[in-house]
Amino acid sequence: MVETLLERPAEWLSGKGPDADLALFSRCRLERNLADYHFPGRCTVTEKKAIEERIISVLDSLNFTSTGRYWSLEDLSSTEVRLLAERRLMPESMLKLGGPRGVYIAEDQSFSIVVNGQNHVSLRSLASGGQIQEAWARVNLTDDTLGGLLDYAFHERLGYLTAALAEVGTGLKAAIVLHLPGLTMAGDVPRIGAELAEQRHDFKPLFPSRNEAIGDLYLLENACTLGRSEEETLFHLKHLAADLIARERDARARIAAEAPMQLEDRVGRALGTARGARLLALDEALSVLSSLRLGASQGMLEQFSVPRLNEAFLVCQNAHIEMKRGHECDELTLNIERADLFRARFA
Amino acid sequence: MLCQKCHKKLGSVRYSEVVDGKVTDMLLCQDCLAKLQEDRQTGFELSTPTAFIGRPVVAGGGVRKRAPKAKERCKACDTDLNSVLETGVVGCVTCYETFSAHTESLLEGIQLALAHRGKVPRLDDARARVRSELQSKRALLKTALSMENYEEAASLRDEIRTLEAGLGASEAGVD
Repeated sequence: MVETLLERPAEWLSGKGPDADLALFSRCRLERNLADYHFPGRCTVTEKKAIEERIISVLDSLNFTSTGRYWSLEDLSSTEVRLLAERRLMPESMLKLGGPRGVYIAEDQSFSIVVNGQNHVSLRSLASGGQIQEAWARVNLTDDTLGGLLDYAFHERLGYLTAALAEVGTGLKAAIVLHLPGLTMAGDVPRIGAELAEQRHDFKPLFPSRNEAIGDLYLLENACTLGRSEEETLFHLKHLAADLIARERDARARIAAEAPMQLEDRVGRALGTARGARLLALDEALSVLSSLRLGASQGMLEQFSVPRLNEAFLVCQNAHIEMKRGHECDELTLNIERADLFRARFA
Repeated sequence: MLCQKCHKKLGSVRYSEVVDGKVTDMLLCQDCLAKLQEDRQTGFELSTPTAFIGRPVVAGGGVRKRAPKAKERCKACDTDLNSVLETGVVGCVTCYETFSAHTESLLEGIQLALAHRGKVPRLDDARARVRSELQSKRALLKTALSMENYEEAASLRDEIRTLEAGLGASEAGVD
């Protein structure tokens, strides 16, 4: 079952790669459709079944199943789907869709193929830190391999056709997730968002809550898929991410120089909460982890490594806790379990 | 691209207005457009030409009707134009042709250009396309039979025979 995935750590949170103290992970998503069918939103159950069977047979023939497994949504519980969504292997919205659909997951949990989501095929690759090129190389190679056997919907002028007009063209959505507590503390985030919108990039919270970015984690992603090649898209994304990383380092250096006590207070309070709380809501847990991660990367908490903190971002989420308990939990139980988890990890 | 006002929904309408000689250009979702239109009508911004308020501006400076004809539907998948304009999502490949005037206008607002740059599929050979279509029809036939939908299965079997005949002739060099 899916819980076997929990036995192995997710490679994309290993803290490897350039600027991994600020860049949590990189992700590439490549959307494709088969030419012979309507997009999944307009397919009959029979057609969806045929699409799913065809993709599975292609994956079998290419020996994908020796290094991963296909999970049909029918065989997954809602908690398992949410767990896969928390591990960034498929969108949680798959729960709401109907008909035959599923996901292929590679053994290393850094690559997945979502079948019959908004599009027939969605190739997803995750890589640690700012290694967006590695994530792209994997989806690109798989796309070439599948493209030799599947007839993709392609328009001479508009490129790869997708259900969403916002994804037509390359069908590539490339993103880097950045941890930016310094810029958040400096109040620079709204201005940065406006600047990036002008550069045709989305800049949004990874965990949104009342328009705030819980855990100071932001997803930087290309907004346009038509008019720029894949390489150009990645070039612009890397350039903008590097600029944000430099600004975050400046902001941290300024805070450390001008308000060292506030910085130490923030990290110290977070450590106190992690070690002493008996009830920990998800929002608070993510904020605590953000402060601890800030302290660790600033050399203030040498006992906690960045990879260990990265993993905590994952395992403190609701479906992970429920999976560990073996059943769905109410909010109080989740908060108790999360506090126990933190006390054990950060003692 | 997201609506530049609420930053939540997909922007589908490019809204332009002129205030004191300064042109403001925004990409809005249908809800924010309606709200803005309502605000403008209750306010007193006389500098905005009322006849143009809330009407999406299309390429070339023209103005098209805000509410499209509800009856416009894609013949292939039955998706209606209103839903495409509201969600920015189409139902099939044919929708791109059926609603081309509207999709191009939407694409102009949310994309950098109207021409693809980048990868092209490797499968571009005509016979490979037929083989691929055959593969999909065979899979459909298998599913139709397993679901005891014999009417659809018979129709698929005929289509498969036609495709196979065409492929055989083509590969034998007759076609």
